[in-house]
Amino acid sequence: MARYILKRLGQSLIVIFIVTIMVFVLMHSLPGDPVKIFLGDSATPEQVEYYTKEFGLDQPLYVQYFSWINGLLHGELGRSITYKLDVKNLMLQRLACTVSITLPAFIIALVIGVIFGVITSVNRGKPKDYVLTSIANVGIATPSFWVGILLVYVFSLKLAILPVQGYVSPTESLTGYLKCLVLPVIVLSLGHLASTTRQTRSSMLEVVSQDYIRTARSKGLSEKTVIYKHALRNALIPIVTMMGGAIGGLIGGTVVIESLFNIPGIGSLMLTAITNKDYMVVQNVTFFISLAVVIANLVVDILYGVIDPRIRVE
Amino acid sequence: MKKRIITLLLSAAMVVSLLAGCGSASESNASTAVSEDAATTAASVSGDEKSNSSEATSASSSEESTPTLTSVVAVDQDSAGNLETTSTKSGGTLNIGTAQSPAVIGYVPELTGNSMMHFTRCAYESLTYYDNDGNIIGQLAKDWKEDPDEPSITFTLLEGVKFSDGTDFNADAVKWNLELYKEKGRSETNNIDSIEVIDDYTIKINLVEWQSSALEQIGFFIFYMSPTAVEKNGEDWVRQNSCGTGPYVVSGFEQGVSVSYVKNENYHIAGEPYLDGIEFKIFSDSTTLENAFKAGEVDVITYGQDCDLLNDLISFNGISFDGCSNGLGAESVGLIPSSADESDPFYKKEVRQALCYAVDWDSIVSSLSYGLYQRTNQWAVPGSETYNDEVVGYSYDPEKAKELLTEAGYSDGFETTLYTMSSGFYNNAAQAISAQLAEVGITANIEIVDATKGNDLMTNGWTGLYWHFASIGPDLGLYMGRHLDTNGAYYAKGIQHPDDALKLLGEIRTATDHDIKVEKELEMQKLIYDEYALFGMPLYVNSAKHIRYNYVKGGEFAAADAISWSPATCWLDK
Amino acid sequence: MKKGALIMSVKNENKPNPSQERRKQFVNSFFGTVPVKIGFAILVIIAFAAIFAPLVAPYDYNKQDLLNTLQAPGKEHLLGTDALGRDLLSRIIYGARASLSVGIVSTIIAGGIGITLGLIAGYLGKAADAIIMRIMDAMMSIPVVILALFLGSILGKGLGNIMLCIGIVMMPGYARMTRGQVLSVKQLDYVTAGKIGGATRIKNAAKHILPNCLAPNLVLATMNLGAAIMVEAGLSFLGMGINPPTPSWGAMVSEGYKYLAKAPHIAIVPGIFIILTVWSFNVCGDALRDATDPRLRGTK
Repeated sequence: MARYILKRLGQSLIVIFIVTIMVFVLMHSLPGDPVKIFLGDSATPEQVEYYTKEFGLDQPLYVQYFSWINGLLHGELGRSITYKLDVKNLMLQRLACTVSITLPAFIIALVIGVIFGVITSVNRGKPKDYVLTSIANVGIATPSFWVGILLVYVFSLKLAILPVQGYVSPTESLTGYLKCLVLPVIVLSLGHLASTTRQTRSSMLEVVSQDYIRTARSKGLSEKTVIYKHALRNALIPIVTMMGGAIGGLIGGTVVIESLFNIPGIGSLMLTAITNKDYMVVQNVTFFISLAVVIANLVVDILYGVIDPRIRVE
Repeated sequence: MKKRIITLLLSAAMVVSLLAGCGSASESNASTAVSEDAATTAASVSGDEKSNSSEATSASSSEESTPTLTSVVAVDQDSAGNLETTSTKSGGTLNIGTAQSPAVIGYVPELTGNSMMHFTRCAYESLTYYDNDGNIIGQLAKDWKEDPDEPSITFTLLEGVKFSDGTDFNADAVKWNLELYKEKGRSETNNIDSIEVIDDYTIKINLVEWQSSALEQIGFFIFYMSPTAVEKNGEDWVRQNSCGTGPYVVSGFEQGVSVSYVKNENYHIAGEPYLDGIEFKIFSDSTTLENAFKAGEVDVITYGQDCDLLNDLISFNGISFDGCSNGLGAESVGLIPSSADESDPFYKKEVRQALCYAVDWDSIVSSLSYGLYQRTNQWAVPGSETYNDEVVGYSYDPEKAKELLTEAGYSDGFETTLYTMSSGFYNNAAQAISAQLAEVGITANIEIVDATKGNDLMTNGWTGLYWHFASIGPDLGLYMGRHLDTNGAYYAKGIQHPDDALKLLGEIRTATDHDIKVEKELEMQKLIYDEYALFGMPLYVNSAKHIRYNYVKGGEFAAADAISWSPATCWLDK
Repeated sequence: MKKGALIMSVKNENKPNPSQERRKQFVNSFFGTVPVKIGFAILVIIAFAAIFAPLVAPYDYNKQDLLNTLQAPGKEHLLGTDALGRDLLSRIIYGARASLSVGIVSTIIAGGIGITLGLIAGYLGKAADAIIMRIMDAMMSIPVVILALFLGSILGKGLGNIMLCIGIVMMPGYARMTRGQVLSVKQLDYVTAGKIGGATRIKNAAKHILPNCLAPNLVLATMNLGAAIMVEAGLSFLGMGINPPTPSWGAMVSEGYKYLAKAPHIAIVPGIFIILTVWSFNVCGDALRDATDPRLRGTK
């Protein structure tokens, strides 16, 4: 067991290292000069030279890479060229905002998705299954921004019951926050809800045909106990493993949603930063998002290893 | 046989009525002329020129000759000027929606561009301002004396004014700020040779050379920060906050999201400001801005110029459109070809002229802007002092275009790139223009650029066609110079700089007699547009419209200058 | 002798051979349910429209008519016109070209590179496996949209670059899948037997491993096609996609947002087509997976 954990840990560290190289290379391959962008149209050559030195951009690439990594390890994340703020504070602020939207979406997608998945698998072949599965299938085929646009049209414009855009922090006003939350969360959770439903369904179907379920039934246990206590628990395993990657998907999904609903989160930060070639912001934010995904996958893998010994031998 | 004849007649009738309908439609479209500013649609692109206005000219604008949005939206209107009769109410927060996104909010030497003005003027003031007719009046200066011979300008400052941190506004503070501007390389102070503090409230500014626009350059475009606050808190703090003499103080700044202001208790005009605070909400998408306005989430849209936005809001009840009628702060949008490089087809003037003949600019502008944009064919608002009626311009004549191309050696046409922003009018117009250019053999491949890339093109040059944003205030020496000068700040690297044009520019700048200056400016219009087609084809005039609910009173939105307003006089009637 | 041979051959002809049997069973299983029939039909129609666009589309997709902008669906223009007066139906048909070609080519690129890497990793094992898989893991931990934005900015706009960009982004899935397949096939006896038999490594791979990997990858590809189309639509929506005037469904939704109040069809209709196409690919992908997986036959 310990060997398995160590092996997985080691692999994750290598992955993180590769991520840093990838992000660094990608960032520095972008066309455009960040200093010129930052200084704007009135930049004199002296100013350009001065700020290039100031941001350390005149150093050879490997030096810049190592000073970035060094900073990371010491918790120093550098300064944003466009926002003129410390990346750490900027990132935390934006992250808080994004998490306050993606976390509810994540939970809703997971909970409702599993419930729907169970319902459809239990009622396989019947109308309930047919309807819900069809909705799920359409759901994963629907672009989130399209749904977003439609919802804005109906609820914000025509019915005027929800705000068109914007974000209110829950600390500022709970009702304001909840109102701003509704549309983005619906849009964000849609895709994942649908795929979770499908996953749960197929996973449940596979589990339900197993021997131990037949045994449980023959023991005279109620159907409810059989489904929820035995089948679901086992069916959840592949779903949980999927969740690690789902984090990455949700964060990526927020780029479009935040742009549509004018939400000042990580997604819109990334969009602006990539456009402005704001090195520090993009490098660090991408790194931390990837780190989160890797850690999530690592945790899930370890848990999976604990639950299912066969995996450890792989 | 009979059937065929009837069908033919019917189709002919349809065609005829269609043509007749089209004709009258385009006429009525052209009559409602409203101009806008480019900057907002292309979210923070270029239109941000450092705008130095010229001598005030009461230019007869579009609003005299043609019905404008203000008159179309009849019902509950309340002109911003008639405040005196109603009693003002204090309190409340004004929510303003805007597409402009400042990178910093309080460190004024770094705040450039027209579009930042409506933020800056909440917390800062300048020495001079304008009245609604475009005449220069004092704001922080109560009087001034110009001496063209020395050359110098002496300002007498207002007394009893304090910065928001409680320190005094005086000549030393002015000198400190001017020197800071000079240190930061701002063009407004390039012409300043030395500064003498005569006494606490008198300051003499010695110029390098006399320029007719010196007073306004220094008076209107320079703002004053509290030296104490800057030295105590540092530049970084000032960037995220404010320390001016203006009616409000920055209380919160989230770049790209919002700017919050609260009342300045130390403001030097008693009784003002009326509002408790102002909240700017920044929108990257104009449709979202429009929706938010309709839903009442914002009370005012500043710098609203997207034609779809204006078109949608025309029929909306209870709102007013405020535009500038004296011509100050006007901008134009056009299509400019790259002419710097010899190998570029647009190097030859025949090709540039062909570009102008090849496209039906009138119908593109009128149909894509629902008739809301006013056309111009030169560097001036039609009807203004430096608008030359004798400029011939270019009619829609694809045959002539082909002739010119053949003359220039491009009988088989050529390929080029048309850079454009991805949204709204620009994207649509670019596609329409590209389609028409294709018909004369010019293949203009469209390439979408974002605000950053756009800025880059404007500053460092481009190859092909790009949108031309220009401040078209009457003083050509000032405004056109920034593009025409060989080392100009805008678009200069992408175009050629004909010697005779540069010479004429110099003469305009040093002209001491106003009438001679105007004569030369008119000559310049003809030279640049009819002779050289140097800046390609201007499409439309753009003076920002501020859109507000009628319960927003005062504020003088765009009254004195298209890009400014008076935050101190604004109040909410609800 | 001759007569006997004749009878024998006739007899043999009547007896269906096993591969024909398998094929028939596959087809029956694949087209088993109604949704698949509908989905497949939709794909055929859309593919047909895309390939024969110039013949099918009523107008040139770039034919502008500045006097008839933002028309509602009507007789002259079945789906109305957009902001430049262009026929929406024609633009949707040509948009199918962009979406389908991006989907297919990027999937081919992703599959091609991914499967190759997966084969190398799975077969060579040890260091090669570790390195390749860790790189794939790293790619998969960067969110798709962000990676696509990066690559899009670096490679620049243009149809080819978008295809390459999306192809690279979707590659890891195939690599992983293939590697897994290779590993499980490696265990099987006949491969070992083949080795004992002296067959060369490459021959081994070609004969035994490759065919077994193809089926699951094909299923993956069908599902990913839909995803690729969605990614392209998302990129176009953000303004990072294909340059105008080439129509792309995602870009059309983005453009249409502006006119939602007065001409909602411009934003809504392309979205519906995205849904139809992606749904059809997914449904067919599901059916393909079920038809090729012997365990699942009969569980639907």
